[in-house]
Amino acid sequence: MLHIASIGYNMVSKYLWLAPVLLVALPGYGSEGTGTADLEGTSDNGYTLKIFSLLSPIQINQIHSWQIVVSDATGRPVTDAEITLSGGMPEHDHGLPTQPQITRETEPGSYLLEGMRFHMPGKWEIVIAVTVAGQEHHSTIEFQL
Amino acid sequence: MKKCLAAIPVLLIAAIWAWQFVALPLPARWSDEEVRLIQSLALASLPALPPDPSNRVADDERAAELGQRLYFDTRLSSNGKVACASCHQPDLMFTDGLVLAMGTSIGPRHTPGLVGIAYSPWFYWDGRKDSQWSQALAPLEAGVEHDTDRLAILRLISADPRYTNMYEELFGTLPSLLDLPETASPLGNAERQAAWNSMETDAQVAVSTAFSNLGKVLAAYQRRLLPGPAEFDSYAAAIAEDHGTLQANSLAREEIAGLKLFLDKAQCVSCHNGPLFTNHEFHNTGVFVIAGQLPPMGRYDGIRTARDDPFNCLGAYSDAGVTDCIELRFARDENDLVGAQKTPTLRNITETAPYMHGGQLKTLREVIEHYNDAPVSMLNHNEAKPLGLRMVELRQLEAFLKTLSAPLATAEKWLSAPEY
Repeated sequence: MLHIASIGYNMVSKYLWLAPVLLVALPGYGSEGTGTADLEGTSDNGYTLKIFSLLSPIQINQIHSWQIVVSDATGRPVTDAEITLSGGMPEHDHGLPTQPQITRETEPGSYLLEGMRFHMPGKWEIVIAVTVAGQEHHSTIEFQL
Repeated sequence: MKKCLAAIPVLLIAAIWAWQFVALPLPARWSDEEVRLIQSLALASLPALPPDPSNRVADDERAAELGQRLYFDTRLSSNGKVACASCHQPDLMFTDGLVLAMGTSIGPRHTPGLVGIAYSPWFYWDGRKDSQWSQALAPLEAGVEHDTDRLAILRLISADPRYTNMYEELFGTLPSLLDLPETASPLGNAERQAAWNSMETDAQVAVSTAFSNLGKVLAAYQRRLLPGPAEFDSYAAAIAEDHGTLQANSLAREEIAGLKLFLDKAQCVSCHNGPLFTNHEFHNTGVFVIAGQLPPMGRYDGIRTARDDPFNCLGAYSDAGVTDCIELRFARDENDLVGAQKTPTLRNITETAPYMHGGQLKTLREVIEHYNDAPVSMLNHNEAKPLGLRMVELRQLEAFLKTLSAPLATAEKWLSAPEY
């Protein structure tokens, strides 16, 4: 069980009725940006990365997608970034079972990552590299499944 | 005094030896986390069989009936003696009890079981096939297995009125085989390949399409082979209500101790997870090489073969759209997959000896000892670490694994050759 994820899911369910209101209030910023993220990280240059799993809570052995919302230190969406993700289980010396990739930027600063899967319970570590204007910034996120 | 001193090392050795056999008391209750993990292994947690968008007849009963007939038909081989059921025998949980598979001659790998395998995104020990129907085609044309070819098989279907009718009801008219070679395939021996190359492209595509349809009916049959609830599943249901480790009329103390080891100290659940006791993934666990063979490249080569396969999810013979082929599109292919083989299910494990991709380990005890030792891998590195299990714990773990066997959930009519 991903505890962060279950909190996120409950929060999203509880305030789902607010979604249309927030969508109106925040034009151009998708519904995935309004709830609590399943995972969150900060890159070395201060970007905030919010991860919304389309399979929430995240479960092992199911391939799924993530929406990754990237904003800068002032909260503005980071657009046209090149994003790559790697990761694995440090305690087992192996990587992810799949090679997930960003397939498109669905809204400014919001990127669809496809092909995510975890195949073991335990401690996972993912590293997200965000490249903007030739500069690469890293964010490492650890979590328990 | 000297005698007393001399006795100390003897007593010490005796104590260390005795410790190997002392069973620790069970905790009275499972923790909430352990209960959750145990429920995740229970058959009650198994979701409905996922659809196979690459096979439009996957859930058509008429396709399964034709598939069942083909599965047991030894005419689908060069010597008339080999059917799918020769190696995947219903009485042995769809395995063969042999170290290495024996088709028309001896094969390079141990026969994997088929029960519950429709839940897996990958097939073969090295995952070189990405659908059950595509997998079903390969043994038919493999020299050491059925040793036949797609044209010879289509001639058999055309010559058998029942097969022709069953096929055409599902897929429409069989392609005309007039003016085509008796036997031909892009795979196999030089004679078959030369005959294949003599055919027009349209004829090749028509034959391969009909051949792929036969894989689809074989898959429609095989995806019905599903495990039934075992003693472990009854125990899991009992502890869901009351978290006490000991339950009336359920698992014995030794089996429960084995379950606890399975979840923590032995770390089996790292890979053997979910209700089928497999993550359907690929791991290098330092299993020694198969006699007379080089260490296999495993999944590293398997994924490359799958990508090049004309019968894969993205290929012309698949019924899937690009967005359905998510496993193939986002599959990983990096160096750490060298020597990695697929995690098998542990359900009915007592009935599927010997074990591992080359049948290298004869008994469950040998498998448990292998993981306890975690030897250095000949190729790449062993992901597993030594476990430090004591003798009594090896026995407990084995006792637990024996609680995972049960008759299949599949209806009896599918478990033997249909009557002609």
